[in-house]
Amino acid sequence: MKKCALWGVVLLVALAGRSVWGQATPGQQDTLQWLQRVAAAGQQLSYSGTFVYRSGGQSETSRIVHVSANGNQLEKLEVLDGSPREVIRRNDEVKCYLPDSRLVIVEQRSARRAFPALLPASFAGLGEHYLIRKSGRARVAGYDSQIVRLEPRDAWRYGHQFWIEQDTGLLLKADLFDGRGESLETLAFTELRMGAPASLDILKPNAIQKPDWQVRQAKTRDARGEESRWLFRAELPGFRRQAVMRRNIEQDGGKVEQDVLHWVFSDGLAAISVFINALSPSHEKPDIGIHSLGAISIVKRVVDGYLVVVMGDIPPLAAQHFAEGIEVRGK
Amino acid sequence: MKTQMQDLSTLFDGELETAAARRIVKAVARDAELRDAWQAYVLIGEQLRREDSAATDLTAAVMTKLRDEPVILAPGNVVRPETQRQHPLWALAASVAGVAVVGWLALSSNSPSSTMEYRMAAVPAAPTSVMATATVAPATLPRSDMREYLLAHQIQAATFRLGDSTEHVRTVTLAGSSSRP
Repeated sequence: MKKCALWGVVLLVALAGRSVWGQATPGQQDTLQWLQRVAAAGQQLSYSGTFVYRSGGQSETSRIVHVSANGNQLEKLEVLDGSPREVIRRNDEVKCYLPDSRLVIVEQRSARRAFPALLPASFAGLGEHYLIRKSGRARVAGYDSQIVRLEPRDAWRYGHQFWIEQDTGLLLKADLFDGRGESLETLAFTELRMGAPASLDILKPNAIQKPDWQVRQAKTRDARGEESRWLFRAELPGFRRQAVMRRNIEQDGGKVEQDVLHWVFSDGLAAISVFINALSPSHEKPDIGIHSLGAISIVKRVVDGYLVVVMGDIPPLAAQHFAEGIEVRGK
Repeated sequence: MKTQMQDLSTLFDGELETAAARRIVKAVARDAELRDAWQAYVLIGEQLRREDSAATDLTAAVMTKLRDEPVILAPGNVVRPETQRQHPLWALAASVAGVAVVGWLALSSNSPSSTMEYRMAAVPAAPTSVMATATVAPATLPRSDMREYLLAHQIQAATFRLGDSTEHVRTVTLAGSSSRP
């Protein structure tokens, strides 16, 4: 009888697990919980530290201060090497200070309101496209961490490895690798302190914004309904449409302003942006082709007098395949 | 001290249990460093709510508030939607990608007039695997050419990688958070 009750509990737990994690096995569940903890920590913890970002042959050191209070988030990132660059984020407003260019770019992260029906229900969806497993423990920046590895199940995406702090779930190190397991991009704390900073001043921008600075306020609006003109014939498996918006993008140092349609697709970890704008006759001939910038692949092509730009942290040929499937409906 | 700071942070998140909340409030009354941190939280909260406050020293106000309404610290009084405790996958991506914005900034070249290094990848005629990174020949493009696209991508990508409707709740909670200290 006792045994029976025990099995009942096990079954209940398993069922409860299913509802949250989909088809995840208990082992996977534990691993997914580590990822869930990362998500929670990123939103709830206050911390400050120094991290190194490395991509290709380049690396740079940056400092981050992140304060979560009252459900609000305030974050300052400053690059310590080379020219001073800073990003200040207050909840969904992101400001990038580029003092050498005398430029401030202000961008509002969109509210997640688009395409609710297309949103996956849980972390379990990740398991369809990545093989997720725990992969030992290691010390990073003086903290013990659990390693979680996500291997891509197909060639349309890159792999990830996360080093997660044991007690808090804070992400200490992240590595992006290609299909051969070669690292493309690494981000790692070298020094980290938990808790809020002693003084607020540290969250202010270091740059002193002068009147001659240019402020680029990105204007976006929801463009659902306008996108039906475009057809995506080669959508990548697992990448779902997350948003479509209209935005103005300045080019040629502010001389030309483009009205651009912007889609965002994501599989949960990687994201792809598609930008489409009409080419005017006066427009310089766009440099079409495939480019990559760090782990980001960029494909530019011209379709029926429109410039199509696809970019994302996906393999170059995945970006190319996706871009080639974009066409005007009814053509 | 470290744990007290964490408790204070938890308290401001409205998630500290009553006994611990009482302890931390007492500690704040005694400890100057904790008091500074408290002030910082209050100020940050106000800044985020766009209540520009000219006052830099809020100690008196906060202490009065503490005396007058200690009950506000009891978790039972903090109305907190259940859904806020769930953390959607986008939050995971955001915690990774948030830094990617700086990553990109880090990659952008140091001099404003110089060019950003791109790698031009030639596509093999019959790729055996998408992963097979093609021959890479260096090419340069004016960095302003793609800068705004890149920034728009990075920032929106951090937001949209796996959406979740709990974010609506978060927005609402944010708007209503002025009722808390």
